Amino acid sequence: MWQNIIILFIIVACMFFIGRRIRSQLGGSKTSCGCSCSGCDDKSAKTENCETKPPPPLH
Amino acid sequence: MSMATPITIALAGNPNAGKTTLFNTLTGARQHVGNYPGVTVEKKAGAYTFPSGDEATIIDLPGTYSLTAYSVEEVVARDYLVQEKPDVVINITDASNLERNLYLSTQFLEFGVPMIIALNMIDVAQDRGISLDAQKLSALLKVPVVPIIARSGKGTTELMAAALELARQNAPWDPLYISYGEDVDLALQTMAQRISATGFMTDSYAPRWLALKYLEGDSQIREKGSKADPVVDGELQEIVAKVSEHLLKTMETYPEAIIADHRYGYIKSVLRQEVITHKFDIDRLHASDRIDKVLTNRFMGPLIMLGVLLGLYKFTFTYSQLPVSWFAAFFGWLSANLNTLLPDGHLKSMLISGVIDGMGGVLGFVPLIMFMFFGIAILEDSGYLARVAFMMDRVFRIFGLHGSSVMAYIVSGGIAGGCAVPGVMAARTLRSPRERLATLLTVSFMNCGAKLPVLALLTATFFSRSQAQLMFLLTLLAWVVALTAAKILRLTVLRGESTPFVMELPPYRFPTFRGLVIHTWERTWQYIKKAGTTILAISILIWAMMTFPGLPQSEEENFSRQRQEITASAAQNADAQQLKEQLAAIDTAQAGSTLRHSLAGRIGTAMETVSWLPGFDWRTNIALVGGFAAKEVIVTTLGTAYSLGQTDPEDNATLSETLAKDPRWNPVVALALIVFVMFYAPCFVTVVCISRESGSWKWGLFSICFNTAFAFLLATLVYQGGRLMGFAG
Repeated sequence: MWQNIIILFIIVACMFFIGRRIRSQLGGSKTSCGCSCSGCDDKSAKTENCETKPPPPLH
Repeated sequence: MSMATPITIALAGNPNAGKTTLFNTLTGARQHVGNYPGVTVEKKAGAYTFPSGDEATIIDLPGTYSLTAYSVEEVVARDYLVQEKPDVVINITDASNLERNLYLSTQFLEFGVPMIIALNMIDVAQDRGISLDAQKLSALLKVPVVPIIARSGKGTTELMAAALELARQNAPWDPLYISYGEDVDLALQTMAQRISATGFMTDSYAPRWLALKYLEGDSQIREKGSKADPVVDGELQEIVAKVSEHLLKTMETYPEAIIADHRYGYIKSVLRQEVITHKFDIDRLHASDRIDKVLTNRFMGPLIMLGVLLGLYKFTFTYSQLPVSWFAAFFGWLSANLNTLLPDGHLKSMLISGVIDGMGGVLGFVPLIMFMFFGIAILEDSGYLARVAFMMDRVFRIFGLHGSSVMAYIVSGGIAGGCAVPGVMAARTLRSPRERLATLLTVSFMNCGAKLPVLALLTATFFSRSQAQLMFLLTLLAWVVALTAAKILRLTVLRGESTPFVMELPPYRFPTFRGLVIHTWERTWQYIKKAGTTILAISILIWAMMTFPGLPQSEEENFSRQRQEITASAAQNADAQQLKEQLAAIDTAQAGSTLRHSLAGRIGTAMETVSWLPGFDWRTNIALVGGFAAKEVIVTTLGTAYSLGQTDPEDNATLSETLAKDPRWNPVVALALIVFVMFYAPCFVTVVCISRESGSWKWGLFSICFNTAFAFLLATLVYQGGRLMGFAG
């Protein structure tokens, strides 16, 4: 029983974490890109990214 | 006198002039610096404190060649200057290539912004026998000029002192007026008068500068103008049309060409006044040019490039083999210990099958990723990567892409190990919307770092003898497929003319060991961080999908009955070994049945109605669905699926060993899966970025459908072709 409670808690936490990531992606991340891929998100704590206007639409 | 509020200093200049290096030196930041143009596509901000205690906000603007809105960087840089009006602009110029760099400087002067010219890489210029008189240049341009070496920080104190001094003066913007010849000057005068009289956008732009942009055909300014006041806009357009027609008739040229010629004329006239002197014969080749004679040679260059690529893979796979096996042994040991320590139940299953066998599969490749990134850092920091782009540019034109697309491809994993997201962002440098879109939609075909563990797992399992050679071929395949797809797009939905491109080659630089270590570690750390956060969470969720809802009661009872029957009959025969084997067979059957009944199992099984064509079973199907979240998940899902199906607690075989033993797997299935993983739908984050960059979800959706259909077709061809030829075992 206690195992099932722990597992349920972990699963909910994972869902929350992934859901939050999806939401931040869809909402437009303010970090360099937010994909956390290698060579992509190496921003320094001392720097902050300014909001940059989105590029003009392509259609 | 100390300034109450922090002053704003913008760093601007040509691509690869050293803006980001100076930004990092001044702010202590570690923004990524690449020895190729176009690293900064967005502006970044950092803090700087003067020795006097005054503070400044430093803005690193994207590299641009002009202030005319041809590309996104130019729009970003110009919009910033117009809207934010920084106190000072530090124009970073490459001292070894001053004439071309001053083209942008003259535009800043025409714009009127308070400016300081930083003559960067003065050491490189001196090595090339170029001597510069900064004081003379300063006197002629009427702006402070400070020689610096951004990499070492030399001259930056003087530069910042000059910036503070200029900011304190708080002088009004003072635009420079260059004469563009009688015809253009007359048109400029007429237009400027009209602009001033009507107050046409004068709150943002100086009248003459605005007129100049109209004559240069600046699309963004014209668009703004037509919205601000269509009547004045129409009048200005009429003057432009008139002068253009006249110039075409009399000189067979356009206003923008005349403007560029006169700007260069102005620069030449400044430089000729003993600002620049060449110690050596100007035709003498400096070191970079001599190296380029060989490395970018039309015939030898591509061969050397392929050799370097193969060498990189040989280096990576050879030297990472041992540490990868240590990691595998460690996770095996961890799994075995947890198996003995924890009581049976879902928690144990989650920790072993979900976390260790799932996420451990991805973390096991950390040494390989590290070696690969180290090799790529050498190529990047030395400047060779820019040469690869230069050589590929010739090929790209054939496929209807722009030379600027090359860097986007390389960033996305052109030499394996990149990321499609910055690749998509790098496509911002493209001016033609169709070429940009074709690039956006095909960069994800490159072998990004997330695909690497999948490719490494399958090549190590089924093609261990020629792993490096196969990776080399897969890299070439990625390029061929991406370019072919681009050509298809350019011939169909994105049909249009190609735009010209000039690729500049930065000088070769000796990579510093510190730089290589920082680059390698930053990328490796991102990989580890992603595995420990996103991949771990997805891995646990997939484990849950593979575990629940579990077998129905009736099925469980059926397996229990079978066990009882076997145990009862074995008691009569008294054959312990046979009993053990029969019970193990029932355990395996039950584990398999539980997996099939799970949520993931049902989805995977339903997909088998089409996935039999490329030879994928339900486990692979689930892994591929999970791979849409992040490609590394393919390895974690396969690890979890095979771990859950595993019933022998003594068996600590790695995923690679398990796949090799499974009769459903063979080299043809592995190759079909490799091909599918390489080309199917980009990961979720990339799709979001494609949609955002293209301005429409339509293109994000298109990339999912187009890529998956394309990958399915290729994988089916590989599998069915391999089967027909009898390679499927």
